[in-house]
Amino acid sequence: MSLLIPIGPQHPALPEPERFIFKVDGEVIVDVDVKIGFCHRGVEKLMTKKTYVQNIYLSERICGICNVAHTTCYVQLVEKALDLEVPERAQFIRVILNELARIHSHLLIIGITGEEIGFETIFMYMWRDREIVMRMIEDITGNRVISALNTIGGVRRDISEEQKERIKKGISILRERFKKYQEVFTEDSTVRRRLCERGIISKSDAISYGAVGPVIRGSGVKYDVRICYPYQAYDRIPFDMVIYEEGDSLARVLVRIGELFTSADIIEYALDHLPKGDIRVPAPRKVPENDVISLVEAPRGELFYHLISNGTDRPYRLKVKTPTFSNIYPIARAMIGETIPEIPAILVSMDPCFSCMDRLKFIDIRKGKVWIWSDRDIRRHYKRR
Amino acid sequence: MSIPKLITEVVRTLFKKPVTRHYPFEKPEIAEGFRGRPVLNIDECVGCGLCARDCPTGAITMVFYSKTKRRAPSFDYSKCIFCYQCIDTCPWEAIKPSKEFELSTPDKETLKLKIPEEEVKPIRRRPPKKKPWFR
Amino acid sequence: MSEEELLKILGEWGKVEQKEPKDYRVYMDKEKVPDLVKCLIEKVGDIRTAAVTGMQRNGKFIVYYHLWIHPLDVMVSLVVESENDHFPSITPIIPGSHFHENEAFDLLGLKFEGHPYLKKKLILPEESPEDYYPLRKEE
Repeated sequence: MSLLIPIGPQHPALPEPERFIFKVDGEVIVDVDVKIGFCHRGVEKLMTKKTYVQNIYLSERICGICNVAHTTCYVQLVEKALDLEVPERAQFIRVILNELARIHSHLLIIGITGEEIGFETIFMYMWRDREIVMRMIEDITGNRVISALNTIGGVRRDISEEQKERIKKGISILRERFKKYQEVFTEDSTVRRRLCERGIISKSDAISYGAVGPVIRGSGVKYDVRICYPYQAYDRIPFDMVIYEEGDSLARVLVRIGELFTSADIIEYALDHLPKGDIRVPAPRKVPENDVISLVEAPRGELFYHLISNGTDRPYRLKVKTPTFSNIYPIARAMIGETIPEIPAILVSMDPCFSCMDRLKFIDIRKGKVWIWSDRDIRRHYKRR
Repeated sequence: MSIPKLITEVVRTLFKKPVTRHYPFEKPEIAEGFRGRPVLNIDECVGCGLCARDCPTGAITMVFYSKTKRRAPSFDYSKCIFCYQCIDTCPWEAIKPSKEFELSTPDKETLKLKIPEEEVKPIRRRPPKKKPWFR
Repeated sequence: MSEEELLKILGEWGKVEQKEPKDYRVYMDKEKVPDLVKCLIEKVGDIRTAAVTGMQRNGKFIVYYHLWIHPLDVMVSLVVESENDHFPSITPIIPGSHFHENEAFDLLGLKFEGHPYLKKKLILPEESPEDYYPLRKEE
């Protein structure tokens, strides 16, 4: 193996970079070093220069797919600092939108997992079902992905009776397809050979290394923000947590498929029990001095916002911790002991929101050689064998 | 087994027509509440400047018309993110939603819309149509 | 172990304040932080670092260590203030705090003593100037 020039565009489906440096002995990975920050945009500094209302739209654009979770967390934070009570109908509408976004995100990442292990058919089918979900979101909010429905004090648009019927019809179509996908991932032998017993994270490792979301639920720990620290209307809606004990990549994928069914149940329950009333209340522009925390279960894990305000209409310090930031380190440790061709599948099982390999650097400790491969080069090299 | 099931579905879709929609020649279906370009109705506007204060990107600036001695907003659609916060904020409902989204142009200056002097009338003072979102 | 017993243990180490039903702040001295975390892991069980927030106010540096206590489903934040920018690290005890403390180091210049591999420029690009800490307030 000689030094390769880094060619290869970024992965076309998840265009955000992160760099790993692997120390290999032959083909087995011995150590991992991570560098992130290629997409650092200075959002925390910018948020101190804009008003609270303008920051709703800035927090939405931190992550495109998780934008509903980001606005829900931000708006909940400001409402806690203002001590503002949001009407019940608005809380239920927020729950419905959050669950629709969760179905959208899980369909995307399970399709990408299928593509990484070579199963391109399931990728195409799942992304076709995303169209049904995006049409439902456009129906309620006016835009397919970036919704902008939440505002300080409530939501901006209401759900009418015709929209309710359309959402229920869409959910019943989707349920049939979810059953087919569950059969594929539990019974197909090629899928099991690529995902079973790879990238194992034990229960104590998952807690001490700080994993969140489906990564920690796939390792047997009962942690879901919607049940452990309930927010909005989740304490009034009954549903179960999806837990798997094995801790490998297949367990993480199965947790996400189980959450598809749970989200469909939550949406139907919330639509049937939608209370009557206003959808928003007026809110002050200036926030008194306070120090508050807000937690939300985004599709990828726990999202954490921390606000310190100083009595003006701009925040003094706003800290954002995204779920992928907590998950990178445990997954990097889980790759030790695995072989090189398994890297893409394990990385995608974490659901990276900023990443997927643009470039991986390999250092062979026995031969002393250094080379760089992109994601495409790995697949091309191992297909020829 | 699951593999034969997927094969029957693949064979079934072989005989359907393709799902691709030829966009510029076939118009897409747009939902009812779609967020297109916000449009200003200058007769309703009072010149208070709340829309410019709340715009997240600074796409709205207030300009002064010397003949009628009043202010009105000027929109820069190259910076607009179509969030509709201006429509939400305006107590006189002077900005209206629309469904236009085909705004691409090779020259950025055509996206900066300022209402010309001739169409601007003096302000009619009257009470607002809806309560503001803040108290 | 119930919540009241946890609050009694925390009360011996610093001043406890409850902000919300499951959200507590403990104001304490910075030297005692690693000992408190070790004591909590022995007595209560599994603890995970949720985040580490750093900030600067009136010339002093303040760090919040946000810990999630799994057996009780409660968030405890340890609030520590200091005139200089040296703080104790809890990474040797809870390895998952590695990235959170490194981010505070990159953005605010807070040095966490005891951190086994505090790397410069985890988040900032390698070409940025050496003493450049973006989130510091300009005097």
